Amino acid sequence: MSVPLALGFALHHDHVLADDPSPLEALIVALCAELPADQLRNFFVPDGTQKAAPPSAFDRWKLIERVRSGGTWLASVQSAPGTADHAQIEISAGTVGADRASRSLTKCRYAVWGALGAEPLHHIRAQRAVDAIVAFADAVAVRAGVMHWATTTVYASCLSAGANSSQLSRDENRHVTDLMYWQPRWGLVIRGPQWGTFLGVEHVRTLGGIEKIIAESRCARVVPLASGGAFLQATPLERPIVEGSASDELARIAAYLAPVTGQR
Amino acid sequence: MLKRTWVVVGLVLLVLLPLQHALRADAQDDLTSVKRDLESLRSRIDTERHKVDDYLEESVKLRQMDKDQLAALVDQLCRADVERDDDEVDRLDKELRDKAVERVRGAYDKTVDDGSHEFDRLGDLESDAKSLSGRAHEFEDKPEVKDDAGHVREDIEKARDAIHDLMEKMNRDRSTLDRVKEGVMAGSNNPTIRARMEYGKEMHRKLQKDRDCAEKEVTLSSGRPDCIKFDPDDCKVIEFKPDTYSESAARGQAAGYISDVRERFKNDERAKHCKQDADGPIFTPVGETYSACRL
Repeated sequence: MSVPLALGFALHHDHVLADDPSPLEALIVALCAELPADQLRNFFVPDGTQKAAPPSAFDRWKLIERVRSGGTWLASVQSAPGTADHAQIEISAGTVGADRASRSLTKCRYAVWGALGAEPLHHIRAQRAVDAIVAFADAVAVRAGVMHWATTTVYASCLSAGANSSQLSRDENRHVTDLMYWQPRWGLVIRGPQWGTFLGVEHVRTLGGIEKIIAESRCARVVPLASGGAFLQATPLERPIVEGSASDELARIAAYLAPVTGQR
Repeated sequence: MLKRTWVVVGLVLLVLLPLQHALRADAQDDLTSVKRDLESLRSRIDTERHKVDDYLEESVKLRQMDKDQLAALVDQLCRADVERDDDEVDRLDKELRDKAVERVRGAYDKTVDDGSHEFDRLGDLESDAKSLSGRAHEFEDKPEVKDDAGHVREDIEKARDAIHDLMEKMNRDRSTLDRVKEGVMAGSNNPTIRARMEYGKEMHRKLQKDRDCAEKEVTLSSGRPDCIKFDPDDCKVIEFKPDTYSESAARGQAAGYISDVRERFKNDERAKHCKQDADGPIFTPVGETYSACRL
């Protein structure tokens, strides 16, 4: 990678993290353990009508306790306010208990999204970060999801969360919104494709099984998941596809994944 | 006859001389007693001087506490996202304020109490010094101890000056102690606290106006989003937060409303302008931060 890029990710699944937060804990350890803890914050959006309290000092145990409570709609580890874009990190997870409304916009009950700026990515190493996200996806039996590269962390974060920002250009904001067309079907259909695309077990089945995908998808990397799903990486890590840039590989994968993609 | 007279005079002298001596000895003893009381008075003044110093230190600490509590309270008020009266955060803010007021009031009451007791002790001391001065003054008419008594009285007056100095110190402190009541203890009547409590609410009102929000704080089961906009192909839910939150945190809060907003406005005429996804209008969550108030 010649230009420092940010990595974004979003995963959609049905695993109740309030009952078993271990996948989230493992993801946080993998992505945050080597970062200065004083630059990280816990942040929670409570379920119900209460507004979120300001971010507090990063404390993994407290975060996991809040997740276990089941009363937290969103649990997040993120950089302290005011952190420079390239140094930012965010891991946000839907963690409400199984007995509460999930407020999901997709066919899956929960979403986990986040972004890693160039600096934390350099600390962690991109390959380890990608592997940690894939491991999480495996642990929660992901049903849809993506990984993508962007020139700024805020763009990577907005792409993941399906959000807009005043820091993005009009075109970037519009692009984010365009990518959300099939959001209500994600899980049933795949999200993406993007540089990294997660397939659920049904998608793998529709495409003829993992062996066939490995043989035919022409991806740089295909990772079979224990859940029966798979992770498809379009290009090698050294040659990422930056969001917004034209890519033959991505066009080819899009064509290959057409049977599991939403069709207009 | 002359001889008898001399005998009588001799006898009188025999009686009077020891009597005069005895009277002179009594005055000396009484003055010695005054001197002893003066020493005791000095010792008590020294004790009270330490107590006054302790009290003044306590009083300085109270002022510092008031200052620190005010700073901490303002920091907490500014960090929080108080959007409107009677919401959850507003209630928490009131609790914070009440706790700070309680803490400072407790320290204030103790300091005032300690100060009153110190005043009482200094008053007693002054009364005793005055009475001792009176006693010393009585000896200044007696030629046999006149000079000595004069010196003792001067010393007593110096001691009284020292007591007055201590009282003056206490008085000066008292007049500034009253200002503590105008600090944290004044609660929302303190202009600094009042302004900080209103700041977030004003900022929300201002941003809602500036952003031309179509819906403000509409009540949903997931809460009350600050702003909903129905701009063509660009419908959004905006959450305003002070910059003690990151933009992504504000976005996270906004994201929590999207499902409810879609449900509430899916048949709303204005939502037809929104970009549509496979099922209905797309609302994107947006987080926007503003400068939090500072001390």
